[in-house]
Parts: sequence; C-alpha cells; structure tokens
Amino acid sequence: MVTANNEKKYFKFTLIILSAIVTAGFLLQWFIHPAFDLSFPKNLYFILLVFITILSVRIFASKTYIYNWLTSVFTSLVAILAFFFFMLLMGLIPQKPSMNWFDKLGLTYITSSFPFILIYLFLLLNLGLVVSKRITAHWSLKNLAFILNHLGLWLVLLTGGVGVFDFVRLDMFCRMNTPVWYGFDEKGKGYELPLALELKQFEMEYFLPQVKLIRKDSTEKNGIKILKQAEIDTVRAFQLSDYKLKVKKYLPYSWWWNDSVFSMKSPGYVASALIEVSSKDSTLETWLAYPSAMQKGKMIEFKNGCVLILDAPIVKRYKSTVTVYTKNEEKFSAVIEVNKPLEVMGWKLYQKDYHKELGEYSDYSIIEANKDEWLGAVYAGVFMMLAGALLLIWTGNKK
Amino acid sequence: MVDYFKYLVLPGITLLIISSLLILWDKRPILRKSVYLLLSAYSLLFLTFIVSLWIDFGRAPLRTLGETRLWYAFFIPLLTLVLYLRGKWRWVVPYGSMMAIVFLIINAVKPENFSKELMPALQSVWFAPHVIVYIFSYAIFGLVTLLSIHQLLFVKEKKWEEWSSSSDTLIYTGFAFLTLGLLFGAIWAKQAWGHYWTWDPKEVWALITWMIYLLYMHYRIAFKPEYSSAAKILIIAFILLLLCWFGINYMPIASQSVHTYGP
Repeated sequence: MVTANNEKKYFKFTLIILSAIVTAGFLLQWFIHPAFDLSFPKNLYFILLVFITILSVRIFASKTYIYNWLTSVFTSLVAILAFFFFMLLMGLIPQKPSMNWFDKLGLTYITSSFPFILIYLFLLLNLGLVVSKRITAHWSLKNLAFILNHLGLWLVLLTGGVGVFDFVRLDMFCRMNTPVWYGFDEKGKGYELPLALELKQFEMEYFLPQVKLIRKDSTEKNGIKILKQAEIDTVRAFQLSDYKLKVKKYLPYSWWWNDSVFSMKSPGYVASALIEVSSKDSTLETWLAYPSAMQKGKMIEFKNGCVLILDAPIVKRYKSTVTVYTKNEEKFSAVIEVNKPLEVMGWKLYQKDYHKELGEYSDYSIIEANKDEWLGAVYAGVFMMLAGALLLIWTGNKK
Repeated sequence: MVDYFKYLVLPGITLLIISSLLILWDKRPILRKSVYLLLSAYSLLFLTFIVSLWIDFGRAPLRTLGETRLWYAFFIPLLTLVLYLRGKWRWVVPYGSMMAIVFLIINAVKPENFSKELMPALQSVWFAPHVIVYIFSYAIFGLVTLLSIHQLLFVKEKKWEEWSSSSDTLIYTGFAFLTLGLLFGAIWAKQAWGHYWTWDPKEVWALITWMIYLLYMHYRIAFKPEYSSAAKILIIAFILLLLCWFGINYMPIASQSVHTYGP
C-alpha cells in the first residue's frame, strides 16, 4: 500500500505528463486538422477497448507503479484541473469559427479538438480505474455513494461522449395536409424517415397583452425605457404607477377603420381596449391598441412625456396536431407540443418552430425528429449520479 | 402582489440586523432563543411572500434573475438558522444576514418589471425543482465562502482544521444539490430542446462551477493540511459561480445562449 505522502509525487508528475499531452495535442491540432468520426460501430469498439484496457490493468497490473499512479487522488486532481482548464477556455471563447489562430489551435471547437480529446481519454482511464478499484472494496454506504457518483459520471462521459456521433437531429418542414417523409440535418442534407407527419392543425395561444408606461430614453436599448408594466385586467380596475386604469370595453380581435373599431378575427387583427385613465387631477377615456403588420397602434401621450401603450402579447403555447404514418402501415393522430415530445419508432418528435411573422396563422410547423441510440446508457449514468447525490446529502450530514 | 416587496425590505433587514447584533454582543441563552425566533419570523415572512407570488403569477417565481435573488434572500437566513440550531456555527448568522441584506437591497433598488408570462419552453414540471435546488446550493456555497473569508482573516491557525472540515460538510451537501440541479436541467433539456447537453454557454459555465467544487473536494483529500489554499479555492469557486449566475449575460458568448430569460 502506498501512503498518501508517497503519492504526493504523483501530483507534479501528472502535472508534467498532462502539460506535455496538452502541448502535444495543440501541436497536432495546429498541423493536422483531424475530423473525428466514431459513428457506430466504431464507438462500440472504442467502448470495448476502454473496457478491456481498464480491466486488464486492474487484473494484471494492479501491483505496478502505473496502476498506483493512475488510481491516485493526486492524479485525479490534475485530470480534473486539466478538464476544468478546457471548460474555462470554452466558457470564455465563443465556439464558432473566427478565421484566426484560435481556429488553428482548435480553441473555437474545443470539444472536437485534439488536446481536449486526449485529456478526456486520460480522465476516462483515471476515473474508470478508480471505480474498478473501489468496486471491490468493503461495502459501506459511503463507498456506495462513491461508486454511484464516479461510475455514473464515467458512464455519462463515455457513452455521451461517443454517442454524439450517432445522434441524429432532423428538421421536418410540415405544411398543412401534406405528408412529409423526410427531414433535413443542420447542413441542409435530406434524409428519409421511417415515419411521416401530416400537419392537420397548428394552434397557438397568447397571454393577455401588457399595458406599459414608457418614456423615450436614448440611453436604453431601442431608445425606450419601460417605467411600469402590467398584464391588462379586463375586469377589475388596476394601478400602473400613478395612474388608475379601468378597462371599459375589450375587443381581443379588432380592426380599425379611420376612427371606428369593429370585431373580426382575421390575419393582422389587434386587441383594442377602451380604457379609463385616472390620475390625481384628471380622468380621460380613450382607446389603446397594439400595432400589427396591417394596422397602426393607438396610444396615450401624457403631458409629462410618458406614453401609455398596449404591447403585443407574447406566445403562451403552440402545438401541432398531426397524422402520423409509419412504415409499419400504422396511422394515428397525435399532438406535438413544446416540452411534450412524441415518440414514434424510436424517434422523438419535438415542436420546434413555426412561421414567426404569421404567428397563429403560420402556414408551416417545424418538427424536429431526433434519435439518440445511446440515451439509455447516458440516463443510466445520470440516474446513478442522482442516487449518488442523494446519498451524498445523507452520508455527508451524518459525519 | 410584487409591489408589496418594498414593504418587506425594511422589516426583513431589521430582523436580520437585530439577530446579528444579538449574536455579536451577547451570549446569554435567552437571547439565543430570540435569534431563533427572529430568523424564523424572517423565513416565514419571505416564504409567505414567495408563495403568494407563486399563486399570483400562476407559475413558480423563478424566471428572472431578480426572482432568483429573492429565493436566495429567503434561503440564506433559513440555512443560517438551521446551522445555528445545530450548534457551533454562531458566526454564520451575521455573515448570512449580510449576504441576504445585499440581495434584498439589490432587488429593492433595481426593481424588475416583473411579468407573469412564462415562455413555452419554461412551462415544465422541471422548471421549479431545477431552479430551486440550484439556488439552494448557491445559498450553501455563499455561506461557505463567507466562512472561508472569516477563517482566513480572523481564525487562529490551530483552529483551521476544524473550520475546514466544517466547510467540507457544507460543501458536500451543496455539491449534491448542485449535481441535482445540473442533472434535472439535463433531463429537462432533453424534453424541451431535444438534447440533454448542447454546450450552451450557460451549460458550460454550470459545468465550470460544478468542476471547481469537484476540484475542491479532491484537493481536500489530496492536500489535507493545506487549509489556507483550500479556503482560497472556495473563494475563487464562488466568483465563478457568480459569473455563471449573473456574469454570463455580459460576456461575448452570451449571444449564443438559449438561457437568457429577461432581466
């Protein structure tokens, strides 16, 4: 057994080794721009290789220097530090092409750059060996928490890391009453899917519009400062700053013709409110309406320079009702909504986007179809970590 | 409802200041009990306010930074109360109060134009647990940071071992909650955005925060007697945490984030 004191030398040693690895990684990145591809079945082979490496070191080399080194907490510390270093770089440098030496060093796409991947591999080896060491240790609640936390993280890193090569995300542009069998990836390449979606209905709900008291202010974004705002209350009187507001009449779908208003719901409508505004010294009654692509808005300007407006409402929810057809000749109707994806034949379908300018009258709905074969393995790791975290609260407070 | 906040600030600050003064100047048991009472009153007051906001908004009041600060100002004194109840953590009360007061004042001076709306992506059962466990862990880390500063400045070196091991207990709990927050976020992201991890700037910074505390825990195991460096790591960690919480909105990478939800 090596004592902690003897292990201290591993700290500097690992620091030197990992610095060398990172430097080598940057050099490799500078001279060759590798395109890593570990799509199936290559990622499976990779996992097997990692597994076999860890097991053979554990079984055949557990009395050697290299095993002691790779399972030492000092080594883990440096490995975490190195990973942390790359995360910091990623947190500070925007991850998009910049056409300068940042690109050449891989700093603008860190997760697929050589130095980061080498550190990732080292961390996998270190973490995997540590788990293999602890898994045969005496059973205790603390040890169980340790294994859940470390093994969970190892699984997430390993399967999430290589699973990304098999992850498919496709956008399906669905128009009304037209079955769509294909989706496009982010590069615009089309793929056929084993299912089809036919958009039957696209629905959208809005919140109530906001009444806002604003003032021109060149120092603010858009040149406007919002002094106060509140959701319009069409029933009770409500207070906005020094003004008491009472809605006398509310037309959620309205059209203006010169100075007269009538109710009609068709593209370009606005909401209009006949509102009574009382301040300390005066009361007035007038219309407020937000502008749309087809109509001008109506507002109230006060003598003190403040303006009372009605602002266009924001979207509360939107969803697509679709008919799903599968290659197995199934046909059924389903609703796809934000935060409520639909799963068909291993594909997850998400409500992603719509024609923004047209809002509820959108003529298409974009549904993302995605497939992640490795999700189960990643979630196994995630649930281990969740259990480990709960145990950590328990054991941490029992000390 | 939110307008009532201004009426809570002064009573809140008063309760916290009186508790702190009692702790600093008097050790009689009767006063100890009154501190329990004052801090409980504070917690109850703000809990009531948060619950009423929740009902009034029809959603968890956790969308904007100001709303998260409100929770923070609620959690910190509650935590100090728990720690004080558990014994030896006397110092935690004035420090926790100071921190809560700072957050109360920020919210009072910079009132937000609170709006009730919750965009579709946020309408999920994960919304409240994800943010609450995060803010709770932030509250723990905030307290530990103040205790570390106190340790470096005022505590005699022979007592450092005890201080550091007390910090560790808190850090392990805080880290567990931080992990829960991170993983809840990942599971939610799969539901809302289609993938559990997209290297969004907020995710990267959440990972940075998570990793520095991970680093701290391993550092403590590796270099046990280095109490002063450990305390310094905790201070740096909290600075990174604040960058993740507030600072990210001001960074060049912010424009790439899907995590910006208003002020």
